Amino acid sequence: MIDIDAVINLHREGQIALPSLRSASVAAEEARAAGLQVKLNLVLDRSDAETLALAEEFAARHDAVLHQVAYGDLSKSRNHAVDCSSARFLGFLDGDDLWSSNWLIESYRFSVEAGERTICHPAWNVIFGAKQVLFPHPDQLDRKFSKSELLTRNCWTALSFARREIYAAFPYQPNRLDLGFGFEDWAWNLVTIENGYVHRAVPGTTHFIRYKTSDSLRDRTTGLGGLRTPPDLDQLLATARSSC
Amino acid sequence: MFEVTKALRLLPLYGDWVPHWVPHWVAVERFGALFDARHYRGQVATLGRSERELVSHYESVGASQGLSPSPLFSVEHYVAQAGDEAILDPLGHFRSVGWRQGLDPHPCFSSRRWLAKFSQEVEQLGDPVSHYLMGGWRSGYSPSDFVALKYAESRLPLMFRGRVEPLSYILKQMIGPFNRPHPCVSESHLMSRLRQRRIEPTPNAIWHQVAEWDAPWSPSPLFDTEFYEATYPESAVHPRGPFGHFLETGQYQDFDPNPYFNSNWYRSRYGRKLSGESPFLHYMTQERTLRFDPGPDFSTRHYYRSQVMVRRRRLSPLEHFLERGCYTQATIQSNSIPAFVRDQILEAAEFDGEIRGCLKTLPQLKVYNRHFRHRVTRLFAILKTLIDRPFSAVVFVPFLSRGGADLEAIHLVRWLQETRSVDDVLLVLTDSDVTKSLDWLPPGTRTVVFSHLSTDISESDRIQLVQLLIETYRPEVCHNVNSRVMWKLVATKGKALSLLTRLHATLFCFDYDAQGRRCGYAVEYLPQSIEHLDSICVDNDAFRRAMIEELPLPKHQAGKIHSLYSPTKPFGRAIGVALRIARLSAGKSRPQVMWAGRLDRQKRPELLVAIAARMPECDFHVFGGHVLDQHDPLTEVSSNVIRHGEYREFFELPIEDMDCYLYTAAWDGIPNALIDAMQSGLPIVTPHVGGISELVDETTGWPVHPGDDPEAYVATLRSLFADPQEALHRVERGLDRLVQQHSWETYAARSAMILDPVARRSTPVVIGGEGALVR
Repeated sequence: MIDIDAVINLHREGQIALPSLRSASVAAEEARAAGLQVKLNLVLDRSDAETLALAEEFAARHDAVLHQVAYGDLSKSRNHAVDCSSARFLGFLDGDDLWSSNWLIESYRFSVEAGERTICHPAWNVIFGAKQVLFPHPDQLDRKFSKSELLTRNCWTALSFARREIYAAFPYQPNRLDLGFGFEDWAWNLVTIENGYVHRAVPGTTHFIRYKTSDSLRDRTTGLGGLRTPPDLDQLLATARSSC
Repeated sequence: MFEVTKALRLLPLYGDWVPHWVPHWVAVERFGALFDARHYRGQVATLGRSERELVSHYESVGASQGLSPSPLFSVEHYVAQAGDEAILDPLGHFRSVGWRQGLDPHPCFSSRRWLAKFSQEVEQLGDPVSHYLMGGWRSGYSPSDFVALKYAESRLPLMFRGRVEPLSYILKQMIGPFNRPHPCVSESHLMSRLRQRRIEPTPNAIWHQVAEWDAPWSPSPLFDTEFYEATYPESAVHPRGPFGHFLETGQYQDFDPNPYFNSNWYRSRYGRKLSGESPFLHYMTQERTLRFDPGPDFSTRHYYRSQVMVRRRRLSPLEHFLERGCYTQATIQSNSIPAFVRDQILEAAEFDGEIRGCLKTLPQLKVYNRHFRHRVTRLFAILKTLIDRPFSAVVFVPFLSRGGADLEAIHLVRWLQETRSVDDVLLVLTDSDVTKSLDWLPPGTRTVVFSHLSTDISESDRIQLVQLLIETYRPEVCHNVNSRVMWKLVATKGKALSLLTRLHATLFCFDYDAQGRRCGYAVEYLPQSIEHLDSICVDNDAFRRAMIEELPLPKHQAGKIHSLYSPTKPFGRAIGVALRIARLSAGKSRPQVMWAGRLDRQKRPELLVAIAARMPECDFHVFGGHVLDQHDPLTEVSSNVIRHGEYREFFELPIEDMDCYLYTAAWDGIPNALIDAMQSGLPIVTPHVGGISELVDETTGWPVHPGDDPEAYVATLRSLFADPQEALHRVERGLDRLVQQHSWETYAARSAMILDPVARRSTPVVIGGEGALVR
């Protein structure tokens, strides 16, 4: 049985995806060196030719699995990877971000030790590119962490690591920016906490998050002044349709 | 030096020159130490200085009048426990039987607590307070759970420490960060609570509120209710809530009041210096020495050095951080980047050139403050405790003054309560704490005032509070009656919100700025919001037509705008009509003209002044104050203008003495003052602006043309006074108009048609001729 499915979500990153893929392969190697079975999965959602070619070459060299989808939505791409996976654990990486080399092995060890209801995040994020900031992740079990803070801000990025069952039980909700709803990672963090899962920061690990001058999803979400997607959005839409 | 010390020791006992706030009790056999001459003299300033005179006054008059003999004896608090038998001589009652029954002389003094410790000594001195005052306080034992005597003493000026009894000293002054008996007494939190409960902040009310803290949220930034309850679950079932648990038990058993105070860590680090005190109280007493930290993450010295305000005002670093600093990116220790992060940046830099850029700037890299908090989260937690149960309809208003928009909001609340239930409707004051017309609301109306959550809330916090309220409670409908905060939210996030709730708004008229440019909510927010709104109600049809014709609104949205005439007041009635007509017919007395409304630019009080100057044969009675504008327009007026100031209710004015109602506004909808005046049977003289012509025309009043010409008003008023029979006819027709157009039944039926989606689907809305539906 595969221990970890490492999922790299790609869109139209082009050459920018190379450092991400390299960091993923290094992290996978480190985990394999510790005796784990790790499979790399590249999910390409409406990607361009350059990204596809680059991904194909990488897949061939690293024995990675290529998934081509056409959702045009990051949440659905992640859910697709979950549906295709049979591994015990899953870890997500966006095609322009990087993992520290110890991310997969350390979060695996941490998850096994901390228990089944654990969702792992890196202890630190290094935001680089157009903006440079160091961003530490809070640990939900830290006495200074307040759950009510989640009402007004997202505490963790989407690049988490957890048991596959958790992602299967709580699929990411697609963003509905056309309706003014976004922040799929924030909504997912909230819904998992409400269901008793615990978000932890894995000591000694770092993610590198590329901050671009223009990020289509970020810009559209904040520009629209969107709300966090509620868990019952589908129900709300059905009610709205029936009352029209 | 010795002489000075000796003299200071004698201060509280003898010196008449001692500052007024130093306790000065007089040992009288009957009162023990419970008569403080200086304290008593403060209440009867006219009395002489003689102590004998003061004691005698208290015995003969003061006791029965409820005057307090000592800062440690609150008559109000005591009588509330002892009942009527103690009213005439509360102090005597306490000294003779009260303390033995466990009654407390003051919210800050627990007789039972003191007796449990000093029962034998108390017997000798006659009552527990006398024992406390006559030396008991020197034991360091606190007379109440929320009096930390060592901490209280540390608040005293250096020269009085150890010499002056600290509790009386503190009680004699205003509560504040340097004057409080326990660190967990916060002036700002207390005042917010008193405002929420609409209690005047008298000293007794303040201390009573501290002693009987009944809010489910914290009375102090130092006490984090959510943290405490989560860490010590047993505190949730304490009769006085988690804070009561902390006072009674937690503070003595090393329970941490907030996540930044770590008692175990503190004890392990400073254990030898505690000398019997609990870590938390020891830290708060010693904090200003900067030699102690509350926990491993918080450096008192760092915070003190980095926060100018804390340094300048000698504030508590920990309290300041928890109250303000954590909401402003203040750091609590010097930022250091962990070594592994540096190593991993180096490693990743090999893959990505842009990460190499981080390496160069690493020492200067901004580190996001992990201790930063959003203040609105705390405010919303308090708001939730005030709301405490669900509701299906909410009405947002900016404030509750005594104007037409306020009355309109209250009509809406009443209609919603009638169609749902009183408990199912929430009224939210979003923009300020003006609550003048709370008494207009139906009894039992659930009301929350954002400004009562804290003394300083920014507009962005208010907007977010409304958003959280809708996201969390998901009311079926949200009505906005002039709340700017709500308009701003709907303009930016209306699309998503309209899926969570049905959004409605009420508008009144266009406004105009000082340069005559059109402004107001309809202009500023409606074009970008109308798509998300279910309906927009306006109180006159002229404005509805004007909005459709003149605003850049999508054509298919125009059908959402409806006219809804305001109802008359249920208690309103025609007053003194026959007498007025007889008076005018006799023509012997000076006509009395009434002008009632806001003395603001919109209402053109300067026009009134010009009219009055041209009509010396009449008296002009002006009721109202200025609300929006700062300057007083009536500083120079002719002698026939009589000002009466602000009024509470139109029907409380001397209507029977008035001969007509004069209105002079430059723009308006259908003002409620005109509806009131018509209902009261007063002949009305008014310009034809906004929707006024839908109420007042040539058959129901005296429209003035042109409405800005004082001469036209003069001519109209004189013609009114010259024909009293015509005045009677128009008054009668005006009353008929009100019955047809402004009755509660008409309002309720029309509201149901507009605001109830079921009713709306079954009733066709006639666009473009809506006025006809209710005529």
